[in-house]
Amino acid sequence: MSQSEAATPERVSLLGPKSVLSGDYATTGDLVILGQLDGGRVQAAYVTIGPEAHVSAEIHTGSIRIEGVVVGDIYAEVAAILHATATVEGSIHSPQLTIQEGATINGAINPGLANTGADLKHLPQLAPLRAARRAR
Amino acid sequence: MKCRRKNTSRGSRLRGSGSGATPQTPVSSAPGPQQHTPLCADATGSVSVLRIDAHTEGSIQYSGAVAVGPNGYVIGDIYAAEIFVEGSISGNVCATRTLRVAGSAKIVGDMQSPRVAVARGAQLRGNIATQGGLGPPSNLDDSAVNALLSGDGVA
Repeated sequence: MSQSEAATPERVSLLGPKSVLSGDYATTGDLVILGQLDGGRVQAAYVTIGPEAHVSAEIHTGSIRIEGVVVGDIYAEVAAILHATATVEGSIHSPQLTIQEGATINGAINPGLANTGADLKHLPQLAPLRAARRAR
Repeated sequence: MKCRRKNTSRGSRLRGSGSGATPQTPVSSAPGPQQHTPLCADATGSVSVLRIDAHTEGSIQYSGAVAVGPNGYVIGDIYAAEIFVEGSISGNVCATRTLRVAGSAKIVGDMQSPRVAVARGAQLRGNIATQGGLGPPSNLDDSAVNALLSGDGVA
């Protein structure tokens, strides 16, 4: 997968593994959540939720990659990817959904949003997460 | 939900209804030389596979694995141990062990299975529930799963 501009560290907001954030969060860049986020609404271009992360919020994003726990509805305009370690309690609105075997889901699946043509080049990259792990 | 026909016997054979283009699509327990051999056929070993490559109406209950081929279209509910979907289903899908949805699949209805895998491109509408805890670990070759999920960027 080619490294897109979206994955450059300058655009990535990181919520560290020991962090707890209560409230809404919005960014125009990428968001990597490794800690806990309890809020009403999260908005970012690309959201990556780490394996130890716990997010209780409504998530609005272009694409999302989930390895941790999400309690709340997910609105992904392009794509949503659930890894085997993911747990989602809430509805997923995305024209493109990938679920790895082993993921736990309880909620509705809805293509919902208008099909944006699914620009596959803009899938969320794992690079920010890996970079964050290296930094620790 | 229309349920005109119920297939519960293992020997039930479903044939293409009125689709002359489909050359002989019998349901067999052995994976045929088709290009789209269901992955679960390899996984389940002795478990027989009910393969559906035709337009089918009615609920399906099967003790083994059910594979809906790319040309298969099922109107009705499906209950089986393992379900692999490449075609279309209009109805609820309940797999007691695993449910695998290929990228070419289209499902309108609720899905329930302890283990669910969905490849990118699949069109789903309905609820997904993986309650009941994880079932027995899949004996499916990991590389086969990755091949199924290929190109989706899953590391």
